[in-house]
Amino acid sequence: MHPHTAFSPELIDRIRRVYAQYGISDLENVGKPMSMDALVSLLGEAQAHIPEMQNRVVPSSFDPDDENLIAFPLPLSYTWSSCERALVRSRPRGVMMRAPLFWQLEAPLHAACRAAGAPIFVNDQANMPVGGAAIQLADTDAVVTSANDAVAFAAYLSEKKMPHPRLWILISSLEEYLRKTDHSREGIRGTVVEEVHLFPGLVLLEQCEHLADARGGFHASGTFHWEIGSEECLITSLQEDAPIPFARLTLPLALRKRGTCGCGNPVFERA
Amino acid sequence: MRFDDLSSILSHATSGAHSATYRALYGMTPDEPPRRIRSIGEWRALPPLTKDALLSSPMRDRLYAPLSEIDHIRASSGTSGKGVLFSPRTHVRGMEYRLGFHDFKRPFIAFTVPLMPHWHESFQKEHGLDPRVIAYDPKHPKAIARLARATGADGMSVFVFHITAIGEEMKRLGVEQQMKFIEITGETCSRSQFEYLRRTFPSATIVQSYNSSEVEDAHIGMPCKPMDGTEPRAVYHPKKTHFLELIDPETGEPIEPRAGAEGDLLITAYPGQPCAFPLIRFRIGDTVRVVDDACPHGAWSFTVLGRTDLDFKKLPGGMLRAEAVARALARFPGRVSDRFELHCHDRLTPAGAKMEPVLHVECGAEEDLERLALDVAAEILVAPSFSYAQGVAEGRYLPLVCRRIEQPLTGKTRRITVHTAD
Repeated sequence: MHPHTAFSPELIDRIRRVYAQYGISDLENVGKPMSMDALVSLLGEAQAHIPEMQNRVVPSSFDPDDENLIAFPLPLSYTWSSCERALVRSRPRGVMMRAPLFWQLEAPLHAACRAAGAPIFVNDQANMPVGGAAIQLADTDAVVTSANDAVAFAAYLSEKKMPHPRLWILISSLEEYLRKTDHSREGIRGTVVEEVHLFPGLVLLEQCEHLADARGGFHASGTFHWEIGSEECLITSLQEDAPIPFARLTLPLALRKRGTCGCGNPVFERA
Repeated sequence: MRFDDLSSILSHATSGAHSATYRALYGMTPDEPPRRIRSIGEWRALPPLTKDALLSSPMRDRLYAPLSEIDHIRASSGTSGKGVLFSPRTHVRGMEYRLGFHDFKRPFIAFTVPLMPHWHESFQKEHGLDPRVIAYDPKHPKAIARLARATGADGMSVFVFHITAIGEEMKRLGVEQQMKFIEITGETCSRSQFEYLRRTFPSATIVQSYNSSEVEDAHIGMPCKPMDGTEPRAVYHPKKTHFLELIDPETGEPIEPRAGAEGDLLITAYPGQPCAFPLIRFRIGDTVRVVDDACPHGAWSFTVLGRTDLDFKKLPGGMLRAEAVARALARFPGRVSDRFELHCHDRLTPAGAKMEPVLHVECGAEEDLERLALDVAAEILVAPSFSYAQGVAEGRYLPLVCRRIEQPLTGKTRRITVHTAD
């Protein structure tokens, strides 16, 4: 786990104060384990305050047709730092974004690309011929997309005998990660860096360079304080500028520690 | 742009390691020094650059800036089935005119064309505003409308053919009234599309810009004024870093940009350093008409008539133009919209092969299509004072046929399609 400030009553008090700004009534229970349903309800209460928050937003769901899709605010200072680290260490010549536009990750990914000195190219998932051509003709050697799309795109590239990118950065939702099988990287060639997001851009689990090729192991995001149990994890937001911080949000995620990574942080895998 | 600027750009474009495209185009030998010109006549003698010429070399061989300075890449299809053209872009500059239309203080919805969502964030930041942009996803307008509702977004930049989808989702959520500024680009905005915009977003200032994926220094056409429904609906002037020329599409001879003149557009664009690829006399493939010799922005203004190779069909003694069809349809607003698809079929007649135009239109179920075809044909001018109906009466052309479009046109449409193998 990344170094972070300790979980403390002060942290919960700060979160309680943030909630109070949004008129959230149930402040007494802040600090007690919070379910995902309770989070969605809290987000619903906060929606009316989003226009005045001066933040960026991402959708609260990876499914565009989710009837419960609402806006989840991220701070203006948000950077997609795990992605940026992966790009900077790989130094791609060009980065193809195949993640859906409605995830709202184009601008954060562009910022990560700038840090790595690589141009961004946006490719619609449905337009694989142009994606393949970008690898061949436009020096695009890194792809950022959903884990599901990566398998389909890699199969397309192989079928058409096109080169594969050097680097894949794959995003899974928590639900996808929980039902993932070992075949979920089937056909993908090159270095694969995986991330698990709660909402698009909100990273829960990430991989450093040591874990990129050692499949199945993750670091827990340093954005949160983690209480890791055998059947679930509780996360509490540590970032002071998180517009809607989580206080002991309960995730249906069973993790176990696998050891310590070359980078010095603990490695977790699905229990 | 002044002549000295043109001379300097040409010299820059024909020097250095990545000048192969221009050196090949101008027939320069490997040891020949960078090209210099002494007169506008020499400039006009330079062969135009085409998309196919750009396709002949990979992107990396066309870069005048290090890859690390390239902000993003765009893709467009070739004109002759030769594949995809990738065009590099540095950060787009010189867009302050937008502040005359909108304050950009609230979140802004932006598709990736003509400018990327991250560019819109940069624009807000550069003007001391919070960078708050919602990337428009044409596959998922419902999700975007929900984010617009949550954030109070009050402006958007989308393609013309996106408008109906996002408009309907916004109406469903009751957020269309909060839109104060709409930038559209892409295909020509028809009268019916404009009327939909006006009706759906009554509080919005609507402007159209003119762009092309190959042109790094967007826009090619800066909006002269907001769209207000007067004809021509979209009027543009050149960007300060551009030099626009008109040529005859058949002969390549220059055409003076006087009001009313029409010609194929050539664009020279150089945004200054950094520049991914200086564009010299690029033949974009669009025909434009000059609206004003000198618009209030200090240059000649123009409107886009359509694709030179797609929106026109030559006829004996005239030209069937998509623009003329749209104008003719606009004369019957109660009967038909001005959105259409014209399919031109070769028919063998006793007098030889002739073209039969079949016009697919949006109209009511009770409309008499034979009557409509006669009325529209009488209004379509194929020459300055010669209508299509007159050509039919003289036996030159086959009668126009109208057919009803059952489904409303929602996507990007090709206005004229020529079928040669019927």
